[in-house]
Amino acid sequence: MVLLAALTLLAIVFVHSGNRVTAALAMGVFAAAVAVAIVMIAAQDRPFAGQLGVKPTLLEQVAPR
Amino acid sequence: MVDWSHELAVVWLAVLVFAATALVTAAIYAAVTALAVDEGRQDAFKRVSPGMLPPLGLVFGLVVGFLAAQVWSDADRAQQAVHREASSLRAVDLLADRFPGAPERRMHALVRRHIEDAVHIEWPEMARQRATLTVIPRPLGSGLQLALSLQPTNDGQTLAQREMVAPLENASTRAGSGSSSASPA
Repeated sequence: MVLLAALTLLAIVFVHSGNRVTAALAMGVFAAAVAVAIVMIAAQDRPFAGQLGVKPTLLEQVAPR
Repeated sequence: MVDWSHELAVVWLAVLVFAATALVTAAIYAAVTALAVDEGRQDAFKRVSPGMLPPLGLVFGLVVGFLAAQVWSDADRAQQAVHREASSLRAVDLLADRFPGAPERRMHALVRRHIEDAVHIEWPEMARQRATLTVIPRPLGSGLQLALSLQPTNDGQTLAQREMVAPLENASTRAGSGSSSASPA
């Protein structure tokens, strides 16, 4: 995924190499989209870890008193 | 992704990923801009067809879609496994009441012990994806043996014993769920 994103960024900068500002803008927009996709996947990459991971709260609730 | 990045809050993960992406983007931009100083190379760069951008974007979108589907499916299965385990343990806890005295107390203690182990030992291992299904949790194994060794004295206890065995067998499937990591990086 990261390799594909880098290739696409390379293609963008080649295509817009005639105008540096346009190239920077197009790369910036695409890079932001890539970052959002990576965050979205990385945040839930491990189901039992991280802020969005599954917590053992439910098990603690059913523990016999 | 490295282990510690999975422990970050989503905000800090986003900051880290955006910073890394910006760095890589700036490096690509700087490299191509430096190479484009030469007129021949600049001309070659300009001749790259804009028509290659849509296919690249499409392939990238497909890869993201497949990875996201895998990751969300894993998260969903993990959530379901925890629900199923909690439900099984609650059932065992309730059915153990049919065997008052020592068996009931022992079953409650084993369920409590299993939950404590799950929270304090298994959960951190699952978070690091080091948990395995090769070892049956000891309290669950003992609970299963206890359930099978009970001597029912009436129909209610016979039914309760039978109903206790299946949940105890099903309660240990959590570690196997959500084990495939997409690792986008």
